[in-house]
Amino acid sequence: MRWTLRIITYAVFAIMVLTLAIIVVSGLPHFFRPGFFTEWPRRAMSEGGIFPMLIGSLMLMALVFAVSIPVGLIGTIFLSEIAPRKLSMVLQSLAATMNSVPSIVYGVFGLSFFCVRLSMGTSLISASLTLSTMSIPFFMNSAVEFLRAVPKELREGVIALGASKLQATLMVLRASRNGVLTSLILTLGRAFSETAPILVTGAVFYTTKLPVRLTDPVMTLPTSIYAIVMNLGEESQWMAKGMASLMVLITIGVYFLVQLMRRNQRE
Amino acid sequence: MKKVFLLVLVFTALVVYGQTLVIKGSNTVYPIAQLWVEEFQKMYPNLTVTLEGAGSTTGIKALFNETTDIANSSRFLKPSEIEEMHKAGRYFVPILVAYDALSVIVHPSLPIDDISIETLKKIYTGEITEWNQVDPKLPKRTIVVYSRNTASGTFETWVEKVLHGAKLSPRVQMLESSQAEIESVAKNPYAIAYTGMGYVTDKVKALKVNGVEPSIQNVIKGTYPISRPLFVFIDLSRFNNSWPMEGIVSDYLRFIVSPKGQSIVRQAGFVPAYGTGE
Repeated sequence: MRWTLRIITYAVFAIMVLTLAIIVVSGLPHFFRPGFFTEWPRRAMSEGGIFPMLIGSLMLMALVFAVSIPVGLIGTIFLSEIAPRKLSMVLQSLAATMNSVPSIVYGVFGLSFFCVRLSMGTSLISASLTLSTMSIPFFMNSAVEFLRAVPKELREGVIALGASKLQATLMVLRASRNGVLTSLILTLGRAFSETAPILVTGAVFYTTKLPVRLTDPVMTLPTSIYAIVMNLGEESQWMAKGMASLMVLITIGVYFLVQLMRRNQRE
Repeated sequence: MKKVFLLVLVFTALVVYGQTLVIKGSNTVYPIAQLWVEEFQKMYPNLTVTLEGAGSTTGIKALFNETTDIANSSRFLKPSEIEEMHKAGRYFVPILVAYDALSVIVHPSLPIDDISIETLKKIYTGEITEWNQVDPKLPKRTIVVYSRNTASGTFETWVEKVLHGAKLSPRVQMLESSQAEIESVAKNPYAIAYTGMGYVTDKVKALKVNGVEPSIQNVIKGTYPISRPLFVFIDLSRFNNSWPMEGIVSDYLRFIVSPKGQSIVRQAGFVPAYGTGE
């Protein structure tokens, strides 16, 4: 019995590692093509590089960060420090529910609300706001646990020493900063790989310029992989493979960072 | 500080002078459109062009919402869309830009020159499995049937023009690219496949369909049965219901029907609608 379980576990583990390895290895050689990271794609993405997709994804992530950090932090602090217990419970289960909503639903919401109702169009700003709507509950849900984990005695002690409510909150944040940072990175990792919400709100398959305004559309890594696989011929597939490999490596990097931070926290 | 100032200046300049051309629609037209856009960009360096696939219907919807300047489409307007267009007081016009024409290919040694749509349908739905069922003179050998994978526009055309919506037999082997189809047929004397007319090489034999030679002339005449026209739609109600004589939309349209634009159509494996001037 024990052996069967062990073998199944190993098998599952092997499949996971194999999947990742195949994606990474099949794309890795393309990294060394001249100009892979610095050139625009040419000839229907059969030549050139992934420069605009890379920059587009980074710009999108920067904007998502700029929106999610303040809103997410305020929300988390409200949940764990300010809200009455019952309200906090309701809000947190709401955030958990939002977490399990399929991402395309966020995309459709973003399309009808940001793009059409607020007439932002297919743009960087619509896409980043849509992604933020999705990632804020995700962030709050995981960050609030770290804030709650700060011992009650610590809070009481600080207040007993004459600290204001604000100072006490700042102390709690400082005590849980590693955890909060971890959730932040996880959130970013998730937002980075999300395809469906940006596909309908801000990404285009091809654009000839980098976005300069918030209302410009953008090319990103995940949506370009989709575009190539769905629409273009065999000669372009290498670019999708290269981008998929890059994305997997970045995601692995993100989780590695998180593990590293967790270890530091324990010591 | 100076650098920042300069950067801001460049950005403002781009914002003020940068024009944008938005193109949406058909996945079939997308590969041609991307090549057009790349070439067009070289002629208008200040212009920004954005391009999206997602289907003909989405493109025409975007024309209604005024979220696109140009809609690529692999079909004409549906009756419901025409009705909606009239109700909204809009005026969409198609520009024929290319034909998606498919050649039926077999090994050059196979003694067959002509095949009918009905026979093709039977082969692809699995009703006929051996060559002597097609023609008693042919050898009694199993037909090896190849098709493009379901995500391709080529496959879509095939389903529409040959299968008439019927289901593909599970015996049919799916291939990733036109290149792979030609290679496979060239190696197997009893294979059959279909591919974009622009991709056919000497390694394989292209069959007549219903007695019609698969040539560019016959596609343009409309006699070759496995082809469909590809369009680009614009909304004339944005130009006072008359043809735009200047501006970026007009320049782009002029470019794609020019010999240069049409040679790009051929490069992408499609049949140019106006010839390439060669």
